[in-house]
This record gives sequence, C-alpha cells and structure tokens, in this order.
Amino acid sequence: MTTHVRHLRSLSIATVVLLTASLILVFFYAPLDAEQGFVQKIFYIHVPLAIVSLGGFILGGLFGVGYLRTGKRIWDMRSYCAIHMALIFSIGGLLAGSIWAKASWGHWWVWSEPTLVSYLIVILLFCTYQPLRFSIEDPERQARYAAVFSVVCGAFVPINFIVVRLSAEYLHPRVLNLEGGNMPGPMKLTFYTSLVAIALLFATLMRYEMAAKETRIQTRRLRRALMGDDAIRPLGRSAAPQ
Amino acid sequence: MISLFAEAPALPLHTAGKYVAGAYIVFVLIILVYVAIMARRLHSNHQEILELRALLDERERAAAGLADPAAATVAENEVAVDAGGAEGVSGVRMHAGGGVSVQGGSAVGVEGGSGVGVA
Repeated sequence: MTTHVRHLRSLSIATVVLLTASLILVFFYAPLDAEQGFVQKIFYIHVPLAIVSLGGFILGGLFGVGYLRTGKRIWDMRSYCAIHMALIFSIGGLLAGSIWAKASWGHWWVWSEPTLVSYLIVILLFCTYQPLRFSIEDPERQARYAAVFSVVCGAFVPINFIVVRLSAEYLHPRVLNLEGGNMPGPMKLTFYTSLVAIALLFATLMRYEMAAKETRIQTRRLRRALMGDDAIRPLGRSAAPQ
Repeated sequence: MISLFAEAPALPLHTAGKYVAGAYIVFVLIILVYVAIMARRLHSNHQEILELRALLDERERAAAGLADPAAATVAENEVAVDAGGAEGVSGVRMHAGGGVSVQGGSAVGVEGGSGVGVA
C-alpha cells in the first residue's frame, strides 16, 4: 500500500460525514442573516471554497520548495496535484460567488471590486501553470520550472490578499478578521464546520488524484518490465508529472 | 436529529432559493464531473492492468512448459479441450500424462489424451 492510498478510506468517510453535517447545519441550524436573508447561505460554500483554493495554491508553492530542496519527484507530484485541485475549487468558489453577487448586488460581476478582481487574477495566474508545464518536454526541466513558478505565484497569494485587505473601498463583505469575525455563534459554528469539510474534501480528492497518478506510473513501469521499452506508447508532451 | 428537523424553520425557497440552489448545484456538479473523469481514468488503468496480467499468465504458462515437457503437452491439450468446451463440453479436468476426465458432457476431438473418462 502506497503512502497516498493509506488512510484514504478513513479520510473519505470523514469527508462525507463532515460535508453532510455542514449541509445540515447550513440549512437547518444557522439562523437567517438579518440583512441578506436566505441568500447568505451561499456564503457557507463560497467562502470555504475560496479560502481552501487560496490555501491550495500556497500549499502548491510549499511543495514546490520541497521539490527544489530535495529534487524528489514526489514533491513535484504533490505540488501539481495541490494546484490542480485548488484550480478546480477556485472555479467552484468563483461561480458560487458570482451567483451570490447576482442575488445580492444584481450583477454577476463587479469589475470595480478589488476582492473579486484580485481573486480572478490569482486564478488566471495559476491557469497558466498547466500550459507552462505542457510547453516543456524534458520532465526534469518541467518539474524544476513548475516548482519555481509555484513558489513565486504561491508567495503572490498572501501578498495579494493583504493588499486587498488594505484597500479602502470595497463592497465585498468581510467575513473573517483577526478577532474571529462578527458572526453570531451558530453562524460561526456552521461556517467553521463548512470550512473544515471543504478542506477535508480538498485533502481527500488530492490524495485520490495522487494515488491515481502513482498507479498510472506503476502500470507503465510494469508494462515496460514485461514488454520492453518498445511496447510503451510514447508519452508525448504532458503537463502531468510522469 | 429528528427533533432538529422538527424545530427547523421552513426554508424560504420562494425568495432567493434559486440562487442558493444554483450555487450548491454548481458545487456538486463540479465534484461530480471531477469524479467522473477520475472514474474513466481508473477504468482505463484497470483495463491495462488486466491486459498485463493476461500477458504475464501467458508467459508463466509458456515458461512452465519449457521447464517440463509433460506439462507442455498438458498445456497444449488444455487449449484443445478448451476449444471443445465452447461447443458444450463442461467440467474438463486435465491430468499429467495426457489423461482427461470430462463431467457432464462428451469430449470430442481431444488430441494426445491416453485416457478419457466421461462421468
């Protein structure tokens, strides 16, 4: 059993249980917001998705540091999977946020809002990660350049976040601050449960992705051992670690 | 849990329900699409592993045949009988030295067998 498959079952069960619990809390426990009413329920999915995706980008950068320090391909794989999953989650967060904006502001998107635009910039920045990898054929160079990219862009995420926080004019509501936010108790409990559930979902899917990639690599090795190099279909250029 | 549901207020789905439902459906759809892609990859990988396993079995049989000529004869017979099995022969058992016993059917066209028993 490989490192990525280990604990996968317990992690999956914990994720399903916590996601179910968070949905129950969202719809049957958390009180309705006095200002926004029922629309505010979107916040319990949008904000955790946004936070976890930004965390995933930073995590990708940290794994990139791991690759540059050790040169081990496993770190490149971790970095790739973290950024891959973070991109998927960020698209979810973006779409959920856009739906909330339409319901709350009457517009799908507001270009003058720094929080939205900066989040979009981060997503677009990380959207170039896969084309960058795809453009480099040599796996060693690909991994090294991708690691440098993930470190630089991963460092950009908190800087960008702080700059937006310092911005004087914004429409976007502030959910959390250093004092823990200004939510009442039941809302806070629901929010943190959702946040942990989404973080667990991220960890589970990332592990699944890594296990799948590792299995694929092992299968190719097996094929090579059984049939020789000639039997292996040429990989061609790929964005994924090989 | 039941008391929680009983005490919970009715969801005001008539006002902003479509937006909230839309946001959560988008989330579920993204996860489902991802899982479907992963399932497709898993299936193709599973097929490849099955193919490799069949190849490995074939090689092991061939290697065993080279090591033991009698076993090689049995292996050849097994192939011939298996071909007959497709025409309705069931429960075929091969024995070293060319012996074949068939249960619940009639063995026709078995080559190299010195003792054929039909039960």
